[in-house]
Amino acid sequence: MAMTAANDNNPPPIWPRIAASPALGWGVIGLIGLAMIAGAAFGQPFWLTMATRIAVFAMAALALSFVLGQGGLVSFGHAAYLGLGAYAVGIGGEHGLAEITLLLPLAALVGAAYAALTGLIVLRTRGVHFIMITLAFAQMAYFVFTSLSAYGGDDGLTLWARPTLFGFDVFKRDIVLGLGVVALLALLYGLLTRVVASPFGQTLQATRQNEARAEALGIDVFRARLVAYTLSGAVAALAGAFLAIATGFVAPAYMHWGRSGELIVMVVLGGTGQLGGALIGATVLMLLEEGLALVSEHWKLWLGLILIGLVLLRIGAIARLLRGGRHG
Amino acid sequence: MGEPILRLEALDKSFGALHVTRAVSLDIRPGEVHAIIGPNGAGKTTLINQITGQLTPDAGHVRFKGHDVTGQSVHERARLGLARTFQITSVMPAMTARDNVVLAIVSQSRQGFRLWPDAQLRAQGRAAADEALATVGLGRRAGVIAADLAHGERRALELAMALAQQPALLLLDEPMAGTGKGETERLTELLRGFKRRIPMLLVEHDMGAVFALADRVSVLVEGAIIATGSPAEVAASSAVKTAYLGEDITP
Amino acid sequence: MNTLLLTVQILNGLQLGVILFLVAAGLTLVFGVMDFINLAHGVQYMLGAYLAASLIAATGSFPLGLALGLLASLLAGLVLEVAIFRHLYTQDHLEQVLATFGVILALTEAIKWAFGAAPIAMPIPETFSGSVAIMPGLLYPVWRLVIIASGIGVALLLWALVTRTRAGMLVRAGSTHAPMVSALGVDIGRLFMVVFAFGAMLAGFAGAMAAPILSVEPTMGDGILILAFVVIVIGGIGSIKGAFIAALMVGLIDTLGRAFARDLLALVMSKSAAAQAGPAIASMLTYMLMAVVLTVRPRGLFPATRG
Repeated sequence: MAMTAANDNNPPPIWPRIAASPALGWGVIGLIGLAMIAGAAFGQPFWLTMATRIAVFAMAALALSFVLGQGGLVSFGHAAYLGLGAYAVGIGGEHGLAEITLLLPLAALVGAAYAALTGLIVLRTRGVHFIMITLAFAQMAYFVFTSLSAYGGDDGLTLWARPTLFGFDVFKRDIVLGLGVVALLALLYGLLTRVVASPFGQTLQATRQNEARAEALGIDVFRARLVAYTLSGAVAALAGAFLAIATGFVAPAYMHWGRSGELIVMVVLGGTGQLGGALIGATVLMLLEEGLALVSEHWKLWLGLILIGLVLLRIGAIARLLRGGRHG
Repeated sequence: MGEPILRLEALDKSFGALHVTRAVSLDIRPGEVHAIIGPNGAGKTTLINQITGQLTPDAGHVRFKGHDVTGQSVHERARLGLARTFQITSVMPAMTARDNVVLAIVSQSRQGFRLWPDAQLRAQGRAAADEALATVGLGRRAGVIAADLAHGERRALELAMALAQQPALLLLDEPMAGTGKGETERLTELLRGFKRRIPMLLVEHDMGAVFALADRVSVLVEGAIIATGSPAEVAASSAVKTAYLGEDITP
Repeated sequence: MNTLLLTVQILNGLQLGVILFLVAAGLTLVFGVMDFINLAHGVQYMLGAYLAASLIAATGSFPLGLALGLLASLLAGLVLEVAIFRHLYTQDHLEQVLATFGVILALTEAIKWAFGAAPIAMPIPETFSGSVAIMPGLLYPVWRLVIIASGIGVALLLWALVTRTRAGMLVRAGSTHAPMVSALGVDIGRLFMVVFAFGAMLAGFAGAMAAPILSVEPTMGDGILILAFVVIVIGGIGSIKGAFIAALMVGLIDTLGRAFARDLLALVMSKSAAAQAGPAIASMLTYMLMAVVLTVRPRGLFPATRG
């Protein structure tokens, strides 16, 4: 191995190491947890509710970031998994299933199953086709639950009680539920960052960077994408399960395509290169929405304009405009 | 002589009215370097794509290591030991040179779907990768992101990846294209070092490289093979001279 | 299921189909020619309905209001193209998704601000109100027939434009060989602008025509956008012919499914189970159709020849 050591005099540049550092993500998770504790300690239930919501959407954005950032798969249907996880809890509850150690695996399983099944079709397509077909399959799930009148149809389902943990009613207290979400978020973030660093993580990145080369190296690109997509569906469904538990309510609206768009915005805002970016993006977007809503009833208008502005700024269109140059 | 590594049996392929591969049969014997030459538009790329699996022939069979792989996908053939380089250099741009080769090793050893990092596996992969990189003269560039490598270096990296696949057959698609004279000579020398150990199918325009490396040469013209033989035989063939319309094909 | 009911539902399906075609035509051209994923296309449908409704109310004349509404839709398309979209053509799809998502949020909310969230009404013009007997015992609203006729008329017009005119030839060539078209000395930027604005006007026209039979509300473009996506994916991105055929297929399957799924299912399962499953299955039919088409032909029924 002397040769190996001798060849190590060209380490990669410093910045990718910092950018690839999971520390940022851990920082965000810590802050969300702190906000919950502070909310409970200072009697600010809104902080607690808000932080819990942020943690839930951070989990969903994390799931999307795994396929979008690492695998290059721009899924425009991830809200479907959020909704499926929520309905797993809601419908499970309707049938007397109230134990979280059963509900969470059930939600993950449902999400994974829908991802694997639709993945067989959507992963045969590329680019724009992929974007639209993931969107269409999410809409399909949306309409199916809209017409399922046995489970509330359009109006949704109310969860009358929170699930138990090994029979104990611990989630009755909001702070326990909130910290539970943060704990699962931390666990999933830790697991997924390990997966990104694993041989499979390299394989997945390879399929994104150069599909033809990956195939020629003997990588089954379709299978790699299917595995990643299924894993992502399971994680997003877990987020959905907690969304249902935290709000005490499940509705088809969770699957609305606008929500899928929001998840993409979160991932892109925080940066697609690293999983931690999704956590930052989710936090920033939700705080931004909340902040704008405080200022204006028509906060969506301002949010839309901010998004347009950000994109134009990033691609240099505004700079071109200010220079007075023609777009070329 | 032994069973051929690769045997093409009467491959035929058309795109609409365009008949691009016409009853092509050829084989590559163990240890042999077999070159395919032909003018532009002769159908070399289409033929390669049928060998690697990107295209399925309309008729005929591809046999690799005794298996009929005609219906198999690109990655299945790669796993059987068919490694290749691309005409336009193709590596993972955002990975380091070392990680590119590690990827090749990991995929070859079917560890690419392990969901958990393994320190020992990683160390072994890095050591093997550094060895392969040293072989192609990239020993000191292992930590450089592939996109930052010079063109010739990327070409060498691609070769290192192919070698790391422990190929039963190495398919080289115009490896000398776009390289300078000195680099062509270096690359030819490098490939000569693998002769007898790794059978190669060499598609190449550079006649110097072909004559220096090939044991046999097949000439592809308008989708059909018009001659196969030793480099000297092919160079002397009048049919080949006519097909090339007076182009000088002697080294 | 009797003949009368079936005829009515087929006509309803055709009517949804031509509306979908009007929206999908612009979408598929913009996709095919510019490789641009425009999520805000549904907003242009919604804008068309609002513009026509308010201009008809303001002028007191249906034809005048409709004409002005179309002109306003065209202008809105031009403004959006110049201000935002033209900067996005060369960007990757992710940036396009983000920016056009922003446009949806902003414009939907702006309309809500200006007109309120409640639906506004648009009356059917006097001349076309009422129903006609198209079969013994079957009365059908005239306006719906007008929608079908005008949709087919626009389809024929588009077909003539695309196959018979120089601009149409450029559009077809542009969708497969954009660099070649600009090499011919055509200002590709202007071609894109015209195609985009024209597509926006078609979507606006669809919105205006649908307005009297639907409620005109800020989110009315959402559902139609998704269906239009399904249509252009089935038809093959960039193909007008594909969009037309797929739009009619989707319109008919969706309408007939909603009308008859329950009764058909009741033949093979209990009535109450059919009442449960019928609507759910009906709402999945379009997507199942898409899944089947894509499994057999991943690039749609009539793919444009882009490599």
